[in-house]
Amino acid sequence: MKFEIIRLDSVIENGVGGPGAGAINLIYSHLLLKSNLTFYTYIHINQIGSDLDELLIKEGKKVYINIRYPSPEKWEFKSTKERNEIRLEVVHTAMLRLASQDERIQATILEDIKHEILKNDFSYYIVYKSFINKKDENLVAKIIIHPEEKKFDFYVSIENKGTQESKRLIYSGKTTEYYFDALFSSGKWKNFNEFTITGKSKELEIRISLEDGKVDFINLTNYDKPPFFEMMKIDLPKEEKEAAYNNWIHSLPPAVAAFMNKPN
Amino acid sequence: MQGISTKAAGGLENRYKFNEGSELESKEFSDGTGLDLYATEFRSYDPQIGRFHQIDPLGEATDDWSPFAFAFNNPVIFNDALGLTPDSVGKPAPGFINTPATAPVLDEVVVVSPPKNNTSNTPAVSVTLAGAAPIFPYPSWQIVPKPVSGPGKVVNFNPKPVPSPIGALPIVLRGVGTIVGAVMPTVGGLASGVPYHYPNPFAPGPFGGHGNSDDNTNPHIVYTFTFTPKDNRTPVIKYGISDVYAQGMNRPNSQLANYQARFGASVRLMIMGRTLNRFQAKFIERSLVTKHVSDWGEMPRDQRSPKLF
Repeated sequence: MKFEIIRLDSVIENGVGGPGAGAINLIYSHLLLKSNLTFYTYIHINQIGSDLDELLIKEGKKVYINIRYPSPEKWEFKSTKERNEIRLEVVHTAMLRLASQDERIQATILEDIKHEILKNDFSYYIVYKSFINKKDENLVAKIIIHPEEKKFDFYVSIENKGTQESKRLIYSGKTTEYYFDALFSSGKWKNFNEFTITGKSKELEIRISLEDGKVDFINLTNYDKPPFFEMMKIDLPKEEKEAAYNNWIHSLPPAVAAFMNKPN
Repeated sequence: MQGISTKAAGGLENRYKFNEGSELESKEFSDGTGLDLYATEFRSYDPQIGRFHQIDPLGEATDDWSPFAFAFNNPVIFNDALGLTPDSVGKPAPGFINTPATAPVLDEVVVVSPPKNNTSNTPAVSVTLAGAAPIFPYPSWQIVPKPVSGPGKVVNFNPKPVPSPIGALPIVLRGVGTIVGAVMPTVGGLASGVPYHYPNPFAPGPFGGHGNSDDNTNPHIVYTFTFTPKDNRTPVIKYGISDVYAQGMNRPNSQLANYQARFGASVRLMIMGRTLNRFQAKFIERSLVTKHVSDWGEMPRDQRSPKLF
């Protein structure tokens, strides 16, 4: 399932798009799913200037909206909250425009979504996946994402009979859904005291011990550190980033590696 | 018989005689003149100068050849019906090699085992066309021409299997070879754990299943849309792939107007390469997006997340 329905973009200076918009994309998409507004699987909202025309294009379950919205000056000097409020306003305006063209989307629900986001101060803990212990259905492990402007934090929460017993931070990654499935798509209980997370990239296992709360990262690759896992981390030092990239290139089939190393 | 025989006065002109059926654009204008160019899928070929008028979209794949050259400057052996570069230099694109009926006539040759003490790559004798100059040296095998009294013999470039006096052994060996060829991974594939196969040499032609299947054996192109951004963010809008047989350039071309409306007139389409099958194309697309996320911290502007395998 695609987690991210909304994609906020911009093609003007001081625009609202970019990596910083990842959090509002995820939060708004989460609330659309929660409100059962799943008529579209992809809504691309593009903030434009005076050189382009406003438009709304529907292609099946995808919709593309170009919307002209004044770009604030000194964007980089605004606070995170101010920037998020402007991003939310652009998304909300675009969604209202979509609602005016599609009667299935009610403007009142969109207003509710906006108010809820403002009320929560853009702070959400979104459950990405839940894994129930087959031997004890009261025991549930949840992978939770906390989207922020500059990073996505991933937590593992262990709940017993609906009560949270522990919550551990396991990863801080880039502000995109691109790597979710690659790193955190699968979970497995081992008896009652150990929970293991793996992903489709099969680079590592994250083992959480319920007895002592210890988190172990098991590297399944032949490299010092799992390359993809490292590449998707936020704020990695330059040397480690280069090492991760070189290892990742080395892990590719030779023809693909040659393709990736082409100058353009 | 007017209109039936190509030799009849006023008969219909066959414009598809050469280069695997490329159309000769001639006599389109009212005064009887025309462009006199062969129209291939991607470029126009001028037979008078023996060159294409446009550069090869896949020219980087054969960067030791001029991007304007036609068929490696060897139209006897090669064709270029698409106007794209074949997979590798010296290897004709599938289906483009001349048929035995039109293949060059060679003197009959006898191939013997390579000499044990032959340390140089210089051949003892080159293969020669009947009454013509040598066409290519044979680097490691000694080839001895056998005197012939009659006309030259046609060498079959695509020999068909013939019944063997030793029963079903050749069929069994061929079956084993097929299985080995299909499952043999590259070194890189083994190193990365990715099933990256050699193409099955006995695979059928165009893939008959669903185009989105990972088993799709049709060649694919990998393309990208970029534009000139006014902010300091990524210029890449999207990476994509297209089945050469099913959609070819129609797929990216159909997206171009949409992107130009949304991102401006500076949007341009670039073909990044061609792959043997869909699996490879998807793998490369996914790798390009991974590199992009690593470099820019976000996916390309209009990229949906490519599925993992």
